[in-house]
Amino acid sequence: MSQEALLREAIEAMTTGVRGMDGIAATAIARGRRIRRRQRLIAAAAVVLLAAAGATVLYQGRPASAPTNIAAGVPSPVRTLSEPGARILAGWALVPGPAVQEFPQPDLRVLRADGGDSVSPTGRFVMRATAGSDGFRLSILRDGKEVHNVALAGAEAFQWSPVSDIVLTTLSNVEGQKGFATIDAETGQVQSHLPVSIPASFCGPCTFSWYPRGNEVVVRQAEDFTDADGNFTGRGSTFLFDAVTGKATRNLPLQVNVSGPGSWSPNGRYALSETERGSQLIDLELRQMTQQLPGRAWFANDETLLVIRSTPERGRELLVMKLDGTITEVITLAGAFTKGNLPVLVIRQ
Amino acid sequence: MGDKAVAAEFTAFVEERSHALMKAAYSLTGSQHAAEDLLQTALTKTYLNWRRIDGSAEGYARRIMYHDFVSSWRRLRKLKELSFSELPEHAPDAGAERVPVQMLLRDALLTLPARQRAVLVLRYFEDLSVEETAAILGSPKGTVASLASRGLARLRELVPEFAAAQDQPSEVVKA
Repeated sequence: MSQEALLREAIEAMTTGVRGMDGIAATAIARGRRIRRRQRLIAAAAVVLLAAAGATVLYQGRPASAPTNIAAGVPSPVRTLSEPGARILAGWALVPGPAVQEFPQPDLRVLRADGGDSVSPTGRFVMRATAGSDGFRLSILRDGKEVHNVALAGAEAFQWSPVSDIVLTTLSNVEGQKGFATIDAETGQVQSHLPVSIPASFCGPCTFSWYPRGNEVVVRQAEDFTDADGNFTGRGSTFLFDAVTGKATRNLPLQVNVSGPGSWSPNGRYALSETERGSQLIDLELRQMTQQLPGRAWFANDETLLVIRSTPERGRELLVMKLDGTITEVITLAGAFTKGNLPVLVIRQ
Repeated sequence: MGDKAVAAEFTAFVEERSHALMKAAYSLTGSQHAAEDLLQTALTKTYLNWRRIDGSAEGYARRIMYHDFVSSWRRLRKLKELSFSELPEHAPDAGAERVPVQMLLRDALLTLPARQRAVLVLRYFEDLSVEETAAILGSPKGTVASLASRGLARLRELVPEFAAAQDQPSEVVKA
């Protein structure tokens, strides 16, 4: 008997006594419906989060004399205000709250967007993601009017570019492969890159996010490398792709669990990796963790981190921290909305 | 198509094909419980994407199953220890003189890394070509051929009786 036949016979024999599963179809349907309900709930929660973020989105760089109504449906006034307590901290805007849309600096304004909307970094557009059974539908609005409406099957996790009116979203196809798409808010043009060419094909979490310069997107490869015999050969990497072409540009030899442009130091030397216990500051040149941080963190600039710490004794606090772990300031927080490109921090008055 | 119609179609598909799919799942995992988990997950995904499946639902379910198996192989590798303790519940129908070889081959197969095992099952249990196997696993044809070759070499190491069999599978040497 040939090896081929022997192997086939062995596998056949191995599966001879396999039992079927009673009610497997009903179970699969029930599980599928639960998953679908959960997806809808998550989508709804995402919309609520977007609304929370949109309520206090900061806008940098527009002249104060040219306010724009950015809310969809119900126009909302954009104001340049002088709320006591609002201030710039390490390049970030801290806004007293809740629901205060005021900021004293002449070159900074807070735009208000009612509803589940998120404002582009230039302030010209608003995106509104609506959940459907097959993914999200994205509306792009300008001056309160819809200018583009894009159906994106298998899309999730929308994020404005940190530097332009481009939306990034993560895509998946029916085979479970992952990729991303960019949507130009100006033209409505969608550029899909699905699947992307990640060497080991697996990623996790498979959510693409912007790199700070806005020309690349990032995804983490979760799996360790093994050879064909299953021997460990190295850790997975973090992959960067050209946002326009979708081609892999480089990879960082670390599994960095990043969430957006604020996860990277502007000079590219450090990254913040989110963990269950907080964040880790990782030196990408030394390829090692240099600080364990006690909560969600962002780079304010090359030398300064903003960290949200939550303790039963003191509640939520914003720590202003140097890269060596020295805390230079502690601010009590009434809330912290972190959706979008900038952390919009609401300080207790 | 409404939800009820989808559910009816899906149920009919599962009733017809679930046993064959279950056997494939078992050949990958070597454990009834792990096979049930693998198949259940694949069928759930199949149901969720039922309207979007273009082509064979069974092919889609198989693709998901093999993909999930390989991608979660580290978790399943832990389950592998369980699979050694589970012997087949029925004696195979083949001749008594080959039962020990089959048993040895079965255990040896379960010691292989997930991708090698998946390739061997697809090639020699599912009777798929290298191209079809590569398409299901999302791997290049050369990788599939290499995995099959290494897997068979390992089986020959572990089971001398297998090495002594008359000839080698013809496709494997095509890498």
